[in-house]
Amino acid sequence: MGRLYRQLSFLIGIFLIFSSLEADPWGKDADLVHCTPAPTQICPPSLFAQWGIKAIRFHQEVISPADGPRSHFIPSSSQYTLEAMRKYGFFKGFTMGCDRLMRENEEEWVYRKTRDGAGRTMKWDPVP
Amino acid sequence: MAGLALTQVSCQTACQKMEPTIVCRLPTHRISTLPSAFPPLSSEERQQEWAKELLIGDAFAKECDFYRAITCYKRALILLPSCERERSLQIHYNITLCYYLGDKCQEALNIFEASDLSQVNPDFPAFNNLLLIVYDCYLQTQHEDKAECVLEIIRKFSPETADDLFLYQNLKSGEIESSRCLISQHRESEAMEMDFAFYDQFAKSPRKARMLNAVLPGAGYYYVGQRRSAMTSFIINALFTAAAYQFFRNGYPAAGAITASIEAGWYLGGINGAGLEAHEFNTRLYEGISRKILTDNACFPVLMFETSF
Repeated sequence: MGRLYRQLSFLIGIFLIFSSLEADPWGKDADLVHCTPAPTQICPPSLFAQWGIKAIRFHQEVISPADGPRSHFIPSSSQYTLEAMRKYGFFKGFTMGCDRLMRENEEEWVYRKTRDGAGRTMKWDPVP
Repeated sequence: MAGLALTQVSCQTACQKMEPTIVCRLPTHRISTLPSAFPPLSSEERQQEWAKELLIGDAFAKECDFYRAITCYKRALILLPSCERERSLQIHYNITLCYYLGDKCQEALNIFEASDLSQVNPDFPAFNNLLLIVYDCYLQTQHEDKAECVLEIIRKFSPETADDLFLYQNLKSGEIESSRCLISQHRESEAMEMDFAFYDQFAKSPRKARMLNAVLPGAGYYYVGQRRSAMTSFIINALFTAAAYQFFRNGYPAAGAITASIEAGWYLGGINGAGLEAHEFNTRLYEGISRKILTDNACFPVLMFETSF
């Protein structure tokens, strides 16, 4: 009885986490809450892309808040990958996310600059 | 993996369309010092309420406080008697100019199209400026056909100005080849070509960047000037490749397959990213050079103004 109760609690917990991810499109590490994102949805995402998007949402909602936002870019790398997956599908979105992670450093280079909600200067690099 | 990489290198379009953002910094000093195109208010007019509002509006506009200036001009319009057509045109023009200088092109066009300004002839004191404003506003609001019509009118009165504006239009829209052609025919071609040569000298090839990253992960980033990303890319790819190799070698095919698939993301992402970064670099380079050409030769419409408020 106790085992069944634990299993049910676990399943309800998982269901609640994923329901909350569906409810809010913005991750807590995404610093774009005040910006209006460009409509990037071209076609419904594939099954792979849907799972990828859910995994990123899980990261944004559950993992990222633990250590706070640390991206040097707007949109943040997780949001960039999410938008890339929505726009180009899972595989290209994944590779674009990998590319963005390799560029996550303080090097200014030639990026356009913008400011986040806290007034910090950030590198502006939306999904092309 | 190599096959996939080559596919990615070769499938990308060789010349990705450039979308530069070339804007002119508002010449505030110039705005405040240029003379007005309109006759000064007479002593009789100065006694009227509308004239006071107009004067205050002009003062705000010369300080580039366009919001307050527009408010004053609109108050002046309310108070202005209907018989004062010339002054009405002047106020409408000033509002249009305020909106234009404040980067509100659609609002400027709304005022222009709704007022008698759209009916004025070359005798209107600020006719040249008005054409420049309308041309640029149509261009900025993607009404290229209307902008072309205005450009033809400008060409009738001043072919040189029309040539400058056409060059401005081409540079602004990122048409490199046609801009190069126009620069070669321009009266200031020598200085312009010297500036434009910087683009040819320093522009990066997206194809080469992708190819370099395919051969040695990180080399493409290094080529476009991102040294830290190059180092990160090289280390990550080396580590994941080594880890995948060790997993397979020690009899852990599942772990090896997972590591190799993640490594594929780093590898292919690097190739794609290096190409995108080269394109980004070229866009910034082009923007800087175009801005310099247009500023030095006063080819921005706002730098062609001969009169102000």
